[in-house]
Amino acid sequence: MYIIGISALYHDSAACLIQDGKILCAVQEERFTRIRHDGSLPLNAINFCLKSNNLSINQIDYLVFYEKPKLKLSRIISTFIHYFPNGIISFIRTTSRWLGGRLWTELIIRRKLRFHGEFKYSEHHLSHAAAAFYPSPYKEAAFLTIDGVGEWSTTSYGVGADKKIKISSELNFPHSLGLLYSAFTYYLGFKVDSAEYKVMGLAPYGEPIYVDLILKNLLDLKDDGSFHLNMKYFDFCVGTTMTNSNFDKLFGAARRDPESLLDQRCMNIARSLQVVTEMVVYKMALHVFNKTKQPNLCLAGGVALNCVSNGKLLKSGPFKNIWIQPASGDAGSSIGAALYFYHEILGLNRKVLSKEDGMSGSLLGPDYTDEYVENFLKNKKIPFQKIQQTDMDNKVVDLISTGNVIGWFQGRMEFGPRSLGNRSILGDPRNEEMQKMMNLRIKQRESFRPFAPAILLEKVKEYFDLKGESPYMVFVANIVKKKQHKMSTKEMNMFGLDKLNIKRSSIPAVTHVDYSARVQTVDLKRNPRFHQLLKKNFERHGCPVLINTSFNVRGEPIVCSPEDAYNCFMSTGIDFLVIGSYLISKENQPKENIREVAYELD
Amino acid sequence: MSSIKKYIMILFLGFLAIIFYLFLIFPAAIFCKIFNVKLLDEAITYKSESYWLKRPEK
Repeated sequence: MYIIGISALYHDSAACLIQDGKILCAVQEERFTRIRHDGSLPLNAINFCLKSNNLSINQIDYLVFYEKPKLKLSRIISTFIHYFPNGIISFIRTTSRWLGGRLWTELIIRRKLRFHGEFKYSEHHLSHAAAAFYPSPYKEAAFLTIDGVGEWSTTSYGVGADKKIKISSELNFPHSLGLLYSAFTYYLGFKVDSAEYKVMGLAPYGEPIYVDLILKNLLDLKDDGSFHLNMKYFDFCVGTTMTNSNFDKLFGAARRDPESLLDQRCMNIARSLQVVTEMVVYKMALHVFNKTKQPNLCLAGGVALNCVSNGKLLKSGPFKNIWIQPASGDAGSSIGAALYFYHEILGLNRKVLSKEDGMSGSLLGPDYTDEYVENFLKNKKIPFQKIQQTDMDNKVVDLISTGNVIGWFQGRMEFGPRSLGNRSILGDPRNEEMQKMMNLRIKQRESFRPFAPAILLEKVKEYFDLKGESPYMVFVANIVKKKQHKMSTKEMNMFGLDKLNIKRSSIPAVTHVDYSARVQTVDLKRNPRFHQLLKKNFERHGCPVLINTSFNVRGEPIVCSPEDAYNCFMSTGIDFLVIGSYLISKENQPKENIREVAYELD
Repeated sequence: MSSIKKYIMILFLGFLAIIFYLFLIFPAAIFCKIFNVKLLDEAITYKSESYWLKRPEK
């Protein structure tokens, strides 16, 4: 039985295909349209799912949409009525969009795909819960989903047991941890629903001096993690902004202008928000543990991408094991919707892969044969070298160790927001200049942003204080004391971005200012090709770690095809590009292929 | 889609929108305002111990 799950019409549209409960493929629409966080109907993604499995649309038994549009519209109308007459303009704008399209989701999808089979709906948080539990390695587990908002629910928890999931309790709109985080993202001058991770990255540069102010004024947090927001400070129910003038007064200044200087106050606010978020998530998790008595927890929803909070929960929380859906935002709900329908509604059996999980390393997107790549390179008259795998690995790790940056393109593209070694930019983590250089010259982004380390699973304990594994880069862990460099008194007294210049460990390019790192453990089963490369780096240069950052530039989605990879390579300071068995050197490229790209602010 | 069909579709959607706003939403909003009907639970109740809402059994 084939089921396609679809998440669309908000942000991060995606489609996935499952066969008898097994995830065959999943991909975000943005990777094809090259529009970051594209929320349009994922027609390209659906076509990829069908084509790559030699199927036609009418061989699909069910299409399942990840939420209920009518229920969502009821929330929008209720909100407007509640705040009437405020927000008329934004309401008319929003509802016009609904009347013109979103309300007729099923009709539009059927017509565009010429689909005559059955069309079903899941619920937003059920889709999140299903995406977290069904592919997890647990037969039974508690789940906690936290995001901005779906239909009404913003947070939910419950238990999954074999093929059944049941939400027991929830928090409803407008009380949302995701929206609180987004409100601060907006206030700090970043893009909402896009740059929340920047606030998280900025937090370690600040001091948590606003925690009491936030807890006293912005939310009433109970011991069980439930809370209500004080809507006096927020504008997202009625306006076109997230926060209002009361919020500005509370923090003593207006919203930061995007791209203006990030001062110490911004960093302190980011840190305070991060502390509050961790506090809320920890309390919620403790409550879920007390209620369910389950040793395992599955997390999903946009807030589950907060890997700092995840890392702290894993280290000191009540649960023995935590599994997080790698695409825990709305894109992953396409998987959740399909699996929810298959297991919960149709009641069909679930196969638990207890040693790994059901996500196949999240390598669920398109791949390209060597033949395709060679044709592409020849057609475009791109100079290249074809090299056997062992020689290629030797060459690549040698290039990395001499300060070169490599665009690494292998096998199936990752599903979700993280590059996990198949569409990655790689560098040497021991190089002190690498973080600054890669941020500015390659990624064209803010210098404060940290890079993530990819490390051989078998070596992780030597470098990081991590409980278990982190194959999807969703946990932050500290560098072990042995690898840390002690700071001098002068360095300890430094503030803000000055901290960037301190060498903090033996792998400084991936060590954040608080000695933390967003770790990816690489194992032989999930990604043998990338594992082989890391192993080679360890054998030849004694370091089992590489910088692994997503293969894209600021404002663009991660590359999907060899064409995207080459374009990105030619518009940045990446020194070498490896696509499958082909090595492409920047030095040998025709000058006319160099692209100047005006990046989009994110 | 032919241009006549498109024209009819736009007229139909416009008509729907007028019905929707003038005869459904705005009267409902005015009614709720007059009789103080709250459709969102935005209150902060410092006395209650929890804000978790039990999900109704289906």
